[in-house]
Amino acid sequence: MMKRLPSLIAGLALCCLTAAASADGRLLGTGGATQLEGAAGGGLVPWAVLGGYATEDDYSVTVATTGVRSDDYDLNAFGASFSVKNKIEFSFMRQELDIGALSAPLGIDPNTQLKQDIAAVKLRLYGDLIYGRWPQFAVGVQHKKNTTFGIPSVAGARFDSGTDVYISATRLFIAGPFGRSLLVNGTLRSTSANQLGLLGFGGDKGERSLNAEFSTAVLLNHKAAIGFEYRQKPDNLSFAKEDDWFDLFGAYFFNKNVSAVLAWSHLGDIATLKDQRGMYLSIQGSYW
Amino acid sequence: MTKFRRDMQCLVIATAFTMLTSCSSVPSNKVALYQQLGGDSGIENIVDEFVYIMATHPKLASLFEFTDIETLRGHLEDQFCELSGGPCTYSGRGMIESHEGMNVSHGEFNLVVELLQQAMRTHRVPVGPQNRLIALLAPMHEDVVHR
Repeated sequence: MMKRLPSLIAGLALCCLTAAASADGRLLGTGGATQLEGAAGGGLVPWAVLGGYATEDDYSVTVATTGVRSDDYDLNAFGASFSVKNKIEFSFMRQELDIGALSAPLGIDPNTQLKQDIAAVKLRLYGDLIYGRWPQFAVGVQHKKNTTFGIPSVAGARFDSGTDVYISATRLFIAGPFGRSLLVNGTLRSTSANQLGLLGFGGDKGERSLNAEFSTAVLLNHKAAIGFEYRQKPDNLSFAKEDDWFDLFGAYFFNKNVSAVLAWSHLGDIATLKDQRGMYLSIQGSYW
Repeated sequence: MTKFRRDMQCLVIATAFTMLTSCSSVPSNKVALYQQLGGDSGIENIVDEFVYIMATHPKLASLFEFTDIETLRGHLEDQFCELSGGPCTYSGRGMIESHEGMNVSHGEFNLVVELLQQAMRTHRVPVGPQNRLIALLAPMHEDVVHR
């Protein structure tokens, strides 16, 4: 996280400088956060909403930095998105995983990182998060390129790049239980990625599979939300089991320019190291 | 495909189906909402504040160029009162008719929602009743925007 501080501060400064410009657009919080692969969503799961607060008349830009600290790993990610007229979202995310404790058994430099770049597009298809009869539907494509394929290939991964395709449906029920707004999201993803792609794509146990992802959140007031996310994962490599992920999160939208998500995440076994749990922190700056 | 995997996919599909078939929940006891908003005087205070910050907002002022603010205030009081289950009858024009030619954008509609939320917060309306009133007004979105 510390390594990313300069870019984070620069990003936030950019957003705060322009804060005065934003007063309308969409409702606070309806751009979601930046999920691990760079799309607008929760922490783990992409939602059908597009990043930022643009309506049909304008554009939005977001920048985000995310850190996950599990028992044995550090994952840092940073990226940006550009959304056009609440119709299409382009995003880019770079992920860097410090493999830490895994380096000793592998006999490699402890400073080794696994890295990948993710370029993605999300197209809003139909419906709306809040208004009208239908939930918001979107389809997304995330093209991932692992730039450190040496270790994944030794682990049995077949490809250094892969493309995820997903469809999401998201709805916010304004007056849900106890009068609180309730967000529900379901995502179906076709993917060949091992541990998001940080361990390459495909393997001896399989290649592409269909995975279900689910998110729900309750808005405590107009700025704060708590929620739960679940993400089913493939299991393509026989050298190490890959588990499904889930997290419990709290999100705070300071305004339409700055938001933060703090989560307790349960990531299961990752590359032979057991039962990884830890904190997830993501900060997003948004200018629309 | 494992059983668990199948179950999770069923869950997501079931969730999607639920979202498709359910509408925003409407409070079962509307009289309670009217009371939670503070009855006649509570709604009057909310509407006073709401109309003031709406009509003076620089991004919305042009929408109210030809509006009689006093009439608008009266209509909104009646509308909120009736919607929340109070003893009033809204006698203004329908939503489509009253927004004809204004060409309200999605952004302007959302801004109005935010200003109503702000007005309710100013008058210390709890989050639950705030959301219930907004949920009753939200279906008007289609009749108001781009008319």
